[in-house]
Amino acid sequence: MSSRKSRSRQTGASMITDEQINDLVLQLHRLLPELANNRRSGKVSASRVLQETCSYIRNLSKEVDDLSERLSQLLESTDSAQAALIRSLLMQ
Amino acid sequence: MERQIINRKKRVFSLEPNKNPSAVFTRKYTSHLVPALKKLNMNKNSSKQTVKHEVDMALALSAQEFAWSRFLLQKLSSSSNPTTTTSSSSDGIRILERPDKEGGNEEGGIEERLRELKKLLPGGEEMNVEEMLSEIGNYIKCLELQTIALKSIVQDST
Repeated sequence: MSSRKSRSRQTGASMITDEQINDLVLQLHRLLPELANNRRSGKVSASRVLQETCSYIRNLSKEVDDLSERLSQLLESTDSAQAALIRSLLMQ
Repeated sequence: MERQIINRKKRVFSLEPNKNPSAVFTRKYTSHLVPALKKLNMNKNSSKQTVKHEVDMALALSAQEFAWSRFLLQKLSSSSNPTTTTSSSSDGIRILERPDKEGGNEEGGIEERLRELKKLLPGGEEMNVEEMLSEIGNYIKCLELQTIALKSIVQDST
């Protein structure tokens, strides 16, 4: 674990106070309703909240990737009704 | 929605002052993306890479009041070649599920998660924790709004 740390990043970059951790966790609780619902009655670890936040962001990014690919397919398709409709949308 | 408006002297819109910020973002996003898609369609250059580039560019252009947006815009502009693979697809962070570690070393777990989070936030690795705190919330919100807008465009053609 310690061998992975980049020395040039240790100074300052990894300094974080308990107060900042608490602020971050409280903020993320408000942002992630699912997580908040699951943990409402119990104390949740900061590490877990951070992990689920990372997963949530990755899921959103993956969804954007998938939708982009879908858009690309529609634009490139020349025979489907869907493609015709999206082209008419773009002509508006 | 809590939102700190720092620079009121920025461009003045002829919108109602109490307009929902989410609606403003979505309108901006669509107004950037649709013309870009028209252009791709006209040029018959609609590969997945170019579409993804325009999707990301629309996101950055629609939220320029945030630091993460300016970092994203900077990255997209410097890699203006649309055939370049975006870092989001090459960002292969492995999540090692080690519950025993989390229990044993809470502080270590937190530091590791924070580093992951910084990698996921555009420009995050150049921000201190305080800056990341203020940026992460609106970044997530804008990603959500982007997804809704994209679904709307794709489903319009169903």
